[in-house]
Amino acid sequence: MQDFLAYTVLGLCLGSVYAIAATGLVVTYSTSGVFNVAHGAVATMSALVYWQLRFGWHMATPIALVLTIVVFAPLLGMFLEILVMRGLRGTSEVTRLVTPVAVLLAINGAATWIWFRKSNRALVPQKFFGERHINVLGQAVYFHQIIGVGLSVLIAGALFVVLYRTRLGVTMRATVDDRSLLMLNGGRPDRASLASWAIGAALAGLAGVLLSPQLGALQVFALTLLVFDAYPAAVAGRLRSVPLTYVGAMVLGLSKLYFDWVSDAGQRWLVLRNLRNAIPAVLLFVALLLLPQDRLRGAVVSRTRERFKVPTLRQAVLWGVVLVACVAMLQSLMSGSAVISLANGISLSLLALSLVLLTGYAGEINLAVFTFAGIAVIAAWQFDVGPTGLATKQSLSVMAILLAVCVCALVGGLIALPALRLRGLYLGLATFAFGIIVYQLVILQIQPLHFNLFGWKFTVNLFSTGSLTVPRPNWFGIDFGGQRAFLMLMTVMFAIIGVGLIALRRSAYGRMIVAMKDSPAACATLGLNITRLKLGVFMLSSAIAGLGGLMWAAQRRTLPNNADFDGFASLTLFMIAVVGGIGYVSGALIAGIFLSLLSVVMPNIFAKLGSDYPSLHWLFVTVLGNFTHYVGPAMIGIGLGKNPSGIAQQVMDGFRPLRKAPVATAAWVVSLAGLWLLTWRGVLSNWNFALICVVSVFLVPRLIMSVFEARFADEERLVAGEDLDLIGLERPFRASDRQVLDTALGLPVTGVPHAPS
Amino acid sequence: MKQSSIRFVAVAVALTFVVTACGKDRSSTPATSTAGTSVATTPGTGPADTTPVTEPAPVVPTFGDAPWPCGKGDGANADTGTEPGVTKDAISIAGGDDAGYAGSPGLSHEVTDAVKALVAKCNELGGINGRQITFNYFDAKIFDVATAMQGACDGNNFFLVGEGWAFDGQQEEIRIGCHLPAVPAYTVSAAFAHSADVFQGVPNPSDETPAGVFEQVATIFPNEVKKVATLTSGFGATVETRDKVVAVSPQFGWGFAETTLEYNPAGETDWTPFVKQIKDSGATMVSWQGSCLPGLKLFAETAKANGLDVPIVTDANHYTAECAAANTNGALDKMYIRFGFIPYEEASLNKATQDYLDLLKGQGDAALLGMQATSSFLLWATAASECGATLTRQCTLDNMKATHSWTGHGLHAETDPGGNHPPKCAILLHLVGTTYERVAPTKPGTFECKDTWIAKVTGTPALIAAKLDANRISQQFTGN
Repeated sequence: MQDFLAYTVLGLCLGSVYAIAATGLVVTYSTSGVFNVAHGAVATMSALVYWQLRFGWHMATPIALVLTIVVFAPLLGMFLEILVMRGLRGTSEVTRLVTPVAVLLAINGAATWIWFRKSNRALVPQKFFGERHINVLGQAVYFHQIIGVGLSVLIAGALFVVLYRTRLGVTMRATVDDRSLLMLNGGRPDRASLASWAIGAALAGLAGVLLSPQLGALQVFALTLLVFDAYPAAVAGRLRSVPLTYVGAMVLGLSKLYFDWVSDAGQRWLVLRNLRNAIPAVLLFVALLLLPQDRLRGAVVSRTRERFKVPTLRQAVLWGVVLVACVAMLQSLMSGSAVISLANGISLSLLALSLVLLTGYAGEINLAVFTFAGIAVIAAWQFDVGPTGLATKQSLSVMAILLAVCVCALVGGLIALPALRLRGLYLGLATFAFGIIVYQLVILQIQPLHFNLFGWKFTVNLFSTGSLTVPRPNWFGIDFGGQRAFLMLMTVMFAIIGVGLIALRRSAYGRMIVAMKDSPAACATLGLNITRLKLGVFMLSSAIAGLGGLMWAAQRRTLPNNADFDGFASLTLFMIAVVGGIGYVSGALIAGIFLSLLSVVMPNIFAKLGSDYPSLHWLFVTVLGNFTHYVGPAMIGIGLGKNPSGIAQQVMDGFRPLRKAPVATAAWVVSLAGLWLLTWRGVLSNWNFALICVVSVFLVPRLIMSVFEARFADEERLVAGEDLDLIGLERPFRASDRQVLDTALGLPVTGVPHAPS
Repeated sequence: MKQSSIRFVAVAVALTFVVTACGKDRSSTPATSTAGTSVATTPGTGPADTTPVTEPAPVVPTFGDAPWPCGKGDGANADTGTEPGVTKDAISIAGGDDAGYAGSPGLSHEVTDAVKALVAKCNELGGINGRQITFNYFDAKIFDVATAMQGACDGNNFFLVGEGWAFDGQQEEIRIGCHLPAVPAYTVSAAFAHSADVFQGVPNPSDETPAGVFEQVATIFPNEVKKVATLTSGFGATVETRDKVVAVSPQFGWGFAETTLEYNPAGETDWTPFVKQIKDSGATMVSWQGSCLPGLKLFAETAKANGLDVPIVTDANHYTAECAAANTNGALDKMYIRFGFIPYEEASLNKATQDYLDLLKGQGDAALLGMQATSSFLLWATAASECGATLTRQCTLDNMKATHSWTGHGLHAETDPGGNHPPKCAILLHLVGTTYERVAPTKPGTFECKDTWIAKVTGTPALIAAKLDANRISQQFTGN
């Protein structure tokens, strides 16, 4: 009994800090509709700033606290609101989820750059009042923890007062209900948003300062992950109600400690040992499932700014062939390590293809792509290699791939079933929680598990010794073990699956999926079985993710079990896929190559430039190199607000005018091919060829456009971003505008009568 | 842009330390345990004979207790044209670390700091028999080991020297495929540690483990060792270390109350459950596998606050300046560390340690891994210089294989790189406030050695995966 009470006390202490973190999240969501994934990053940054002020510059605790929580954190929150969140109005849920991910990476990147770029030093924060504690029921409760409890109660009370008794609070609540009505009534929703973000960020900062001593040494991503643990509390409060959030946080804290009590800190059931690390994820999943039925969206067709055009099947096949040919030509020029980077990129593109189907076409969110990769790898490895086999002597058999794909599809279906009525953000969170649960219970399972079922004893070895060596295919006598051969295999696979996806999109099934994305209510009224559609899409997407994951793992050869499975990598992949253009197969390609490029190639290029030009070392390595490494990818995500359809769309828009000048374009392509031939022969160096390619890609379209100005007169207006709604209002309607409108709406362009001369 | 929990990284580092800590020192003479006076392996440059000389002998630059294996040579260098990375007057070596890892910048950079300083000094002295060394750096950023190794393979390098990549299991297929031999600062995977063309200054095989610490601790705490609780980071390599501890220590009188406690490498919000478990099990000592910051510090503080005041035995990776600096409240005062080098605090008693610190002054950071890198570099340089005018990979490998007595010029106690055996010597350190102090053996600057202090390990999952043949060479990636 005493133990139970003791654990209860500890659970309440932990729950209080979670309550503070979760409440901040709820405050920002309820006033802006943005689920601020970057909440944890704000907490981390604040914790670091507090450490710097208190322990780095030895300020007094109260001053450091005030500066951090009353000055720095709210400023950061307001800065985020003005710079980023404001631009997210009118965008789809996907964009609103992805942009905070980018912000998270940007802030964490900046934090790493500022505090940790020099070396691996340890920043050790102290608890408030140090080690002083009181003895409660036979165990120590620190003053620090008591302060946490007290603060959480205080904040709950203060928030209640602010939200329900002050004018600002009323304005904040009104902003949620109806922004335009508020403006008509003379309210200032913008100010309310600023205030709510300031409050939310201050709460995040407080949570960070309270949590960081419990980590012992400040580490950027570890602290962020801790704040992720508070999500179930926010979801329990349905992202709206502060009291419910509070209750949810207490339940979360208590559950963690009770599980430790019941399982003897994870030892009683060794199979479930890691469940103690996954309790927040389990609770998140349960909270999401128990949410009341979400209203079927459909009364108002949401007008978002994303536009995705679908190529014809013939175009798709053509581009597939072009891709394979280009990759073949490129890899013949590239050095060994560059080929590895390219292959890494293509393997990630394969993974991203699953997101094209699920998120781009069907509008559902899956934040656990790498989890499916892990499941596929385990399945295929067990089949082909097994605990006593040798990966280097096996081939990745077709049977293993089929098995892995089927297992992934099954798992995807299993996940989709309970999550069928979840939409958008909640579905994303559910998949995220699922990913973490699988990570802890399956992927981190390195010990052999012994089972005794009705006398039948068997041992299951999931992730073996903590890393699995995945064989590469050896089919029809062709050994794809070599890097270049494997690269070509993956590229062909990508092309085939990409063409398949486009064919799917153009079929009736594809139209049904897109209809489901646009308006589930309308689909239901038309008699479409949403459940079956959703299930089917999930299973297919999981299957593709499994296949892509297998290729990704085979590309890496040896896969350690904590590489990319803790959630961050899936978030990053999702973000980059959206940035690349989630509705386009080429977007997936861009995403994969981009990810690979950023992590390896860019830093290497800058390092090389830095050593080649030592006087400019500071510019290349310190500024540009670190920027690209730490903050760059995030800035790109933040820029998503400008063009939510992604990079692929921008690229295609840029090249669209070239269709009008086929001869010139063909000449350019042929000349590039000729240059490639020269490079292959060794006449031209790789560097020069790359330089010429890059420069020409930027310059030649402009050149062609300026030379053929007359023909592009109409197109230019489209490229310049004229508002299509105002054609006919701002200026007279012209016959050629029909073509412009058709193109913009993604409709097949009909013939244009001759423009009057 | 791969982000994993930092803790994971810290543990990765931990494990490397652990691994290296295992493979530390051995002195073949149990009775005499003086560091630095073991057999030096540089031929022809041993201590001068006792014949008195009339003129002062030229000052031979030494590192530690032996001359640098670097010099101008006799000018008769030949270039066979068949050895990659070797010409008449130059050698190209590759190396690197995980410093570019975004989650923990600067990881293992001390390894490269050491190698670069050594290469510079060696070149200053003339190179290896007059061949100047070029060092090519590859940053594996933890997860890009394959790329780094491919780069090393493609870059026409003679050897991999002094590199430290945490995920070296991922590199082996590529390395073996391009026949690039290695003399790393440390090894992590069994496959790498048991490869035919890999030697280390301080070997770390997976089928043997140094066991001196168990006896040393049992001597000081004869009763407490009978009920030990293990607390391990839930991470493959640390779990393996724990398994070795549990398997090997009973022969030295250890008994276990608890062997399955594992904590979350990503961080624990409350260590009280673990403290309670250990208290309930009646354990009188804790064996910890993890990292000092933040894990052990927090655990120790919670233990102290809850009345669990027991000694904590752990590994050499807990010997860091940060760990010591963080012990302002004395919570870690019960931490005992097994160690295999002469600690920096005794540098004045050991020329090699002082030389290492001096070498790095202003050029980089000193660390345990750096000392191991130094030992490996000197091992390689010695073997290469012995090949004389015709420098080949095979000759260098043969020379290292024949080296069964190596101290890194006195940096550590004797090891057997050729036979791939960890040392049978140990030192026990102890943290008192913010300084490390020696516990055993009591005489500063010495090691304690016994033949029984190398214990065999069998049946661990890592060993099974490594597929060692009768010669203890791993067949995991050789396709045999």
